[in-house]
Amino acid sequence: MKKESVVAIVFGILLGLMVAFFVIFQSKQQQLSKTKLINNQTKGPTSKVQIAVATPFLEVSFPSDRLVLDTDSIIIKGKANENSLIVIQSPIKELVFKNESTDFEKDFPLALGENVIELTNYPEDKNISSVHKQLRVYYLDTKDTTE
Amino acid sequence: MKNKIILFLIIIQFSLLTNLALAQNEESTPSAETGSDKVSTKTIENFKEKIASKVAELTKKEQKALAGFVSKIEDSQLTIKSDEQQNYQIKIDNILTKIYQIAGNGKKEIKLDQLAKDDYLIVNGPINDNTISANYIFVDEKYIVNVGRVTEIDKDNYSVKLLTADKETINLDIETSTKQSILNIKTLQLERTGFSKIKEGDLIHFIIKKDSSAKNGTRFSAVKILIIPQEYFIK
Repeated sequence: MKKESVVAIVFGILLGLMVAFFVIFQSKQQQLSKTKLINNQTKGPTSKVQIAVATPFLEVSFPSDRLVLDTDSIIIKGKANENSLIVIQSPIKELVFKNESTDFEKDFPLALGENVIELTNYPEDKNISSVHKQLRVYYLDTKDTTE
Repeated sequence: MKNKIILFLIIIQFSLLTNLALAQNEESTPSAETGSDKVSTKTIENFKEKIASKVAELTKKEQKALAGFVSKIEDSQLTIKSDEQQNYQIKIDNILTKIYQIAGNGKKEIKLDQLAKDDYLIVNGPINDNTISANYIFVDEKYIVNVGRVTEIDKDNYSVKLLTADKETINLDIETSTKQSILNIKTLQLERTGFSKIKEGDLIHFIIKKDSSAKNGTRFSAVKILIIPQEYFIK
């Protein structure tokens, strides 16, 4: 083998090693950056909340639509814009209140059978349009006592 | 020239070998962990079992029902059409299925032959695709709860024309039996009111009874109305 070939091979090996170290270094950095993303998720919601304050929103965490219950009242739990006017209406009850904090919890009666419950959020800023949500909750008393 | 090619090939080979080694390392890590951490695997299994039982419990608790107007009755099978215009087959077991008529806040057991076309039914039972094996059937009344802005007032006929958020026009007849309330924009309390207080531009939260005969109509008798005066939105 010529001297030049040997030198070329040695250089090749050295360069290969350099590339290998570079690849290892890069992949480790990538892994670290991925881990950072997961850790940074705690910071995420605060920015989301900041956006949510500006836009009208109405979320109902309980009850879910078409839920079957065997009680004649429920506690409606949800979230809406602070200081907005919330209207909750069903064929047997209407409730109007100012949402002083984002979360709300209201006791609401149910009629036997289907209860169509309409929730409306009128934000404090009157230029922002209202948000509506409709739920159907079924109070089905299946006890065998016929009335 | 040959030397350059050899050098290039060597570089490529090394880079590939390094990547392969890295890939093998990443794949081998989990198996090494499972081998060394049997106790934590057992804990995970226990945790999984607990989650599964909790999910089963919640599924049992979160029972759902379907409702719709009867479109067809055949022997022990009914077909109902839901609000979403979806047809559902209702299977009735003569022994197991209980059928009740809701009247006020009470119920009365009735027979299958007392059900008629256009009855509004609430059906509870296992759902498989579009078929429900009914455990319980309740005959109820269908109510619509919605909101609309007043666009016209007919003082002679005590009726108002509303435009809903879905751009639907509703003619609402205010009857003597209609429960009417209005929002006091200062106190945010509800107060009893009358037809004369309704103005164009007001928002009305209304409740109407929907029977099968009026399904495609736009004129309804109001059961209840709640007026949000337009002044609330400009104060």
